[in-house]
Amino acid sequence: MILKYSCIDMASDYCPCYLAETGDCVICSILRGQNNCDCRWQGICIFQEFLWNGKKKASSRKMIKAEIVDKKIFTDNLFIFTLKLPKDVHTIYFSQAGTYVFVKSQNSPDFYEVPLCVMDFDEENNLLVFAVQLLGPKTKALFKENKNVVLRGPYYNGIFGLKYIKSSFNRNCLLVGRGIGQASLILVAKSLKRGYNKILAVLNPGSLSYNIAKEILFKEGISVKEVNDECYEEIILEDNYDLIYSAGADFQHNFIYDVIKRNNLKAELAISNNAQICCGEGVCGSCAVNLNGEKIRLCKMQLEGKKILEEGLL
Amino acid sequence: MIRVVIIGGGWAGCGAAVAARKAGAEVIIIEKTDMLLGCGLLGGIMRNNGRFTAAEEAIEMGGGELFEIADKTARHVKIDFPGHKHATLYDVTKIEPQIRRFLKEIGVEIKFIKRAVDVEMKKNTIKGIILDDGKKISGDVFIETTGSSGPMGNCLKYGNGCGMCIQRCPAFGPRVSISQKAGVNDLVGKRAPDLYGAMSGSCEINKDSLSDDLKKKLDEEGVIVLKLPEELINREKLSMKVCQQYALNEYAENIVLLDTGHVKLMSPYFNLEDLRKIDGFENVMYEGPYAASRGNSIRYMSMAPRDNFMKVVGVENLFCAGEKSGPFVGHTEAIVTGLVAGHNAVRKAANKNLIQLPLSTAIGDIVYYVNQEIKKTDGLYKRFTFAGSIYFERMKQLGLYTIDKKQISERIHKEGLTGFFEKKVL
Repeated sequence: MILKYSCIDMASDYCPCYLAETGDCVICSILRGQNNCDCRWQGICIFQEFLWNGKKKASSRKMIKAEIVDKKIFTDNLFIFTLKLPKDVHTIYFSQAGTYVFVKSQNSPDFYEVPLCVMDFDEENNLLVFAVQLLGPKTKALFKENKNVVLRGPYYNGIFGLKYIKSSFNRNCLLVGRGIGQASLILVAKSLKRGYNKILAVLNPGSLSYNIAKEILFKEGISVKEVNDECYEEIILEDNYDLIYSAGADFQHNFIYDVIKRNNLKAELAISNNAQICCGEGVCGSCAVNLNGEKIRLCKMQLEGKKILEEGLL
Repeated sequence: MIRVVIIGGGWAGCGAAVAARKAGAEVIIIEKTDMLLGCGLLGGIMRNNGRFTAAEEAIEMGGGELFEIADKTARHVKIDFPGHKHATLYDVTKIEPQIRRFLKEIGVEIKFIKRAVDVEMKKNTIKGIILDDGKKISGDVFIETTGSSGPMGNCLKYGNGCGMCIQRCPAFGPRVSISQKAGVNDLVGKRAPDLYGAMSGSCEINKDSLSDDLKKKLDEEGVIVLKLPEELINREKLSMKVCQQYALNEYAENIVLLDTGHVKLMSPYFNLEDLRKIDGFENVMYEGPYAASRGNSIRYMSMAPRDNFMKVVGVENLFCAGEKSGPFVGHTEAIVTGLVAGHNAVRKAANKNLIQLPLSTAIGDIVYYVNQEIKKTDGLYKRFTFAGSIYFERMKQLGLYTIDKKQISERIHKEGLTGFFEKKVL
């Protein structure tokens, strides 16, 4: 059986990418140096795009200097900050569920870049909101910055099983967010709300002592249930859900998938991408895992949430 | 009941469907586009030279319905053009719905806009075909007639890029080699030691865009040969062509037009600006490939090794026909190899011995001969057709070529093959 995956950047402004130039395109066999055309077809021919572009990659993501316009410190390990994007960069490109960017303080070296999911956006004022849990040197350096940061993005592969969120219409959806994972819930909720879906968000503060998504979800009119333990099974079984989105640690993903399997539920599953991501371009290798001898770059390759968990890739 | 799954609804797939259905099986065709006949939708040339013999043999053997439908929709019969005699030109604008209706009438199920992308195997046996929507089509025996042209990556790498041909890969997705997915390495045709594939040999002009004089002449006579101005002659194109039977000097120095409903221009591609310099061509437009100014599809990229029963070597229950089964050129070649594959597929599933048609028939001989030739070192440079080049020469030498229907009838009768495809295997 072929593995069902696609490339999140295919047919985007950033395709063909660095991997087309290096002969590692996720999709195109000819760009990988094989003689014969045998691709994971997703509607366009990347080889054609590559040739038309003069055998060069398309534009790459820019380094964007952005001003910190608001910063709230919640606990000793949690803060939320708001960035004002320059005029020529629009929040609309950062508003799809699963979008993440790399951010570093303006004077830090490049390897201080922290991958952060976009928590919320304000289209009118061109603002992006991020939540950060202080964990190591990168997040601590970012915490010290109060004026300007450098942002690189957008990147889109923050969620596996994204197609279920994008295609969901008039269905019953459950969002489970734990700890800093809650930051990814808001773009998902907004996307599902546009599809007239019924949504319940379950928030668990985890190792933070604060539910960061609560206030915004309330404002969006989403039902919120706050819990302090992993009582997800009862909640899942209380209603018939078509789609469950799990944002949190891998054990939470596995716990929820186990509930779906044991109870033979019809629910589709989307999960947050918890891989260690450093470049987002499929180049650095920090997110690469091996599946049956095939190298899977989790920063770019879009897989089914269930498949990821079955194969133990996270 | 035995279930035969045919991948690809071109002429070869249709031929296989007819034979498998007649042999008594349940038959499903999976077709990636919205129409049957594949490249045959812009074809039209039947019964020229040795193809006449092969078509009549198929009819005598009871598998001739597709030829009869082609005859019925013919715009012209018994026409001659350089190097070719007694051709029939079917009407490409009328034939597809008729073939589609005929197959449905005999009970063939056709799934359109379903693309086969993979196989499910159990050891060396295919259990099912996986479609691009993830669904599985199970069967007892499978026949691959996906052809060997495209997808557009090959046309880009070995040709002049996607010419927007009738296969419409950008819209319906690429052809996938099923035999390769089943673990069998494809054979790839060559046109130079380092250059693979060959380019489709003709393009189609919209007939209404020709001058009234030329249109009238084509309607009446079916064929026009015009001398090309010296500055437009490009002999290099001949070596690129698939159709070695048309790779004659006449085709470089002249422009050969055939009336197939559209106007078939016997050249793989032709810059429109240049084409419009010819008298009567001032307003011409292409009907297919739409970008024929630039190029045409690349083929022979994906042939399966097979035996003389048309079974793919290395897979227990996979048969092949048409271009998939060797460097064949033409509809007639596709249909007759399809008939053999379709019949033998049912025999295989029913655990009956497989049949190799005798070498005293043109059909039996070409199936055997091509298989011998492609194993030779220069074999992958050759193309085979009843209509010309090396194989037509062989037919003449062996006395296989005739247009005497009575002689063909006797030939088939002598081998005990009269009505062979009509007999139920099950």
